[in-house]
Amino acid sequence: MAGNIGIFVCGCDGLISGVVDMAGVEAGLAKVKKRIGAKVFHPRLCGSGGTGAVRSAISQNALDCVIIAGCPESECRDVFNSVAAEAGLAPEMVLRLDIREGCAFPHGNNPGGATAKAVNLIKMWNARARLAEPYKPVYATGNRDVLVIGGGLAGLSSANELAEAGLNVTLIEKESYLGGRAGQFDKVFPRMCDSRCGVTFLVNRLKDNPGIKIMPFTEISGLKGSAGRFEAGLSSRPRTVDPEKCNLCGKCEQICPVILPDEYNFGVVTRKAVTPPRPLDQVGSYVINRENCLPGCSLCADICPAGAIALEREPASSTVKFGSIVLATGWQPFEAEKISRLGFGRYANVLTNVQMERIMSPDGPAGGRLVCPESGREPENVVFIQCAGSRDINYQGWCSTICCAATLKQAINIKLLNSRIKVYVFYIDIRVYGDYEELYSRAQEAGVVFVRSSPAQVYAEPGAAGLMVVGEDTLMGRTLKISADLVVLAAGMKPCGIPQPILNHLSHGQAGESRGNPEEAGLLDRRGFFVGHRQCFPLESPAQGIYPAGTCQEPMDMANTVRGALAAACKIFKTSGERVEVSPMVPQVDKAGCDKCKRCMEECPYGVWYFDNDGYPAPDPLYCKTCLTCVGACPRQCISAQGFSVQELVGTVTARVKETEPGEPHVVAFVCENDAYQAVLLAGRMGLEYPSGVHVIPVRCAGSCNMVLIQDGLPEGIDGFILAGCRHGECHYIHGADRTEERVANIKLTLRDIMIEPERVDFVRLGVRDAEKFAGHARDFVERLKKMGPSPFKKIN
Amino acid sequence: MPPKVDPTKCDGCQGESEPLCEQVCPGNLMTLEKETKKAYCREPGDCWDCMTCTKACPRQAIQTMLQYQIAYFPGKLIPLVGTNSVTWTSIDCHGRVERFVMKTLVSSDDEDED
Repeated sequence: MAGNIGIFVCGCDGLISGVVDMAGVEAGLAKVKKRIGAKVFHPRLCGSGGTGAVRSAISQNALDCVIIAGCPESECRDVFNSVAAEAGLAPEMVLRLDIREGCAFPHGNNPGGATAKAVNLIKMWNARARLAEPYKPVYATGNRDVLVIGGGLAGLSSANELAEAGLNVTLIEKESYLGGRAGQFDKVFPRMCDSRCGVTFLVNRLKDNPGIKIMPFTEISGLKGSAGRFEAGLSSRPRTVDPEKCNLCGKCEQICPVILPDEYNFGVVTRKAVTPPRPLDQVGSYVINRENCLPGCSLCADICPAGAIALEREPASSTVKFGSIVLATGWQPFEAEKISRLGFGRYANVLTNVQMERIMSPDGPAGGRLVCPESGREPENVVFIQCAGSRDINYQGWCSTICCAATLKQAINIKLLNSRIKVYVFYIDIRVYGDYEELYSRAQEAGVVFVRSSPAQVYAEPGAAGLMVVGEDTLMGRTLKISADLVVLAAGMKPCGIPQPILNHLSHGQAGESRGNPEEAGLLDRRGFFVGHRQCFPLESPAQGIYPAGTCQEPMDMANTVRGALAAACKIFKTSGERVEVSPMVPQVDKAGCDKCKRCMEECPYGVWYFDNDGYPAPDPLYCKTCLTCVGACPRQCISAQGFSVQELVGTVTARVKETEPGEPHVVAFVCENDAYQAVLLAGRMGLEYPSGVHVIPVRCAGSCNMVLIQDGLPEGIDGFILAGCRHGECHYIHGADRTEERVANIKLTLRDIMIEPERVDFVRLGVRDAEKFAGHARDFVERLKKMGPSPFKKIN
Repeated sequence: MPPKVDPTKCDGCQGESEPLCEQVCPGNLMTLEKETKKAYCREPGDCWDCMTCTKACPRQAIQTMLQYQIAYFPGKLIPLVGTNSVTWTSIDCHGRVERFVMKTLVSSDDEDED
């Protein structure tokens, strides 16, 4: 509580004093005396004379809080903060009040109104200043336990970075091997190095690190708690083969009667229900895929010379506690058999690009030689068909971004293997962005023929060997028919999807009630990618503590995957220090007032609330983004943050102010400081006029406006309220503006019931540049208020 | 006259097992209807019109009808609860409106003169 407040009014070299009558302000503030230590009127506070005046006034009068009425907060911040610091005042005890953009500029033709408004604003800020207190720093113990879901390139990169920084990482992978897709492929463009090399390096680094626990064959089965306090249920597939006993003799695989397409090789060859260890294996034994077994068959268990096989093992389940999750679930290839005209699945010599990777891999089914699967001979003509299923509204509407570069890489490799093989690429557009363009020229130099066409059909001509590809060459304007020994379809990326427990957590929160649809907020793609807010918060999910990385976000190449993985690790570092100093604006709950209604938990856009040991809700300071939606939501007004509380704002609406002009409605506008307030400032700078009765108060987010402000303000005689939030889908705190819109709609019904015009409360959405919209809206609103007449409460006060 | 809950405004305190009105009712009369998840007064005859639930409702979904001695239907008394005052609006059966402001928290004499 500030006991000795200083009021400093700046003339801004005539910009303010040219409109606002400084003597009039002084007269208006004549009766404002209590707890006021000094009133200083200066032509230019930020000049050397002005700062000297501020400094000496603070020290002479022992002021503990100052109100600087002048330019907006964004200007001269350092000047006033350093002056205050010299005089021993914390920066938060310097309250800035904008009477230039907010008062002098828009009311240039109305000096009387501007002067009265300036007096009102200073009185309102005075009420705030009385409650101002220096911040107490908030420290939290960092959370150093992380769960990484997915052992592919993204998961490994994140896990490695986190483990090297000394965090405890649990890495779960649903397969028996690590490395994911990157481990299955042949070469990496543009350097043409071995794809497995990088993941092998990462796996080896991880093995050396004691801080990491790798759990193959494990999936997440449940998720409870909130950021910092997650508790996940993990279920591991049963270990039917004992790795201690298994000597990898392979007799079990030989005798297994089940034959299936081999997923590791994308179906180019077959496998048994018993599979040998894959490269980068983490299990250390043969693996029996029990879901493939014939009922009652126990041939493998019977033949095993080491007695390592026990078929009836139960899946193991465990729970882990951790603070953050890296979600790196990756991608899967599009099912090319869906496009029947291209013949995949019908002709053995039609492959997808991922199958081609396996064929050309040195450890693949063909041993790194280029062969046609049907004949086992080297092809003479190879045709690549781009965008198989991609950029096609019938299949996958999006561009997978990497297929063009992957095809060019494969085409160049074929030409390097044998330059006499004819290679054709059928494309719609070659999309190799950035530096990868060089691959395009390399392929052209190597003699690859490019045909702009989306082929109509791939078919086998009766009697002839090989396949025919038919399409229209759209550059030449003629149909084209090419015979091919091998056709490679560039099938795009499809997300593997987000594990159901996490999806439930994102959309329902802890209390089981809907937190709002992440799809609606645009953070979760309808197609299953975890896009986040691409520019502002690309790694963020609606629930804090869950960070997506890699191709589960959107189709991307390996370089971007690693970047994304490191970025996710960075987000986790922020909350992992031994002692983290967090924002002092983390909300605090006054337990005396709280009745545990949980509305704060429900309305928090980030799900950072949990129940503390006494059963009261508390936000996790590490993950709170201080949007203060909870302050606006609390029906008991018992949540407040340092420097932002309902009581302070109530002070502004209950301050004893006067009409700016006779008959002018008194309007208070609470505007979001991110977007709407910028529009208000811009309106001032553009000199747009709006009525002088509109008093603007910037708030953290529209969602931080508690409706008690209206319930307190209307009886005090305020004629109307404007609440301004961000435009739809643009709120920096996901749905702060939507919450306010909802609350305003609700309070309008109450006003209607108590026979007060609901139109006295108005919600408007403003973008950062909507200055004209704001000014126009304020004019219309005041016009409507004038027609309605003064607030009925004015009579009883 | 017992409290009347507006089902369009009541949100059952969003899945709360015990909504605010239930927590505050001194007679333990308010509860959630199982299917609709809306609050209601389970024993209207026992309500003594203390208006606690009406004031506590965060969505202003509860209204109290005036006692028939004062005004028969549609007379009502509606609070607007501020931080340190409650503003009552009384609407009698003729549609006459009266408003009262009750200070619930008297601040120290710290205000400046007008």
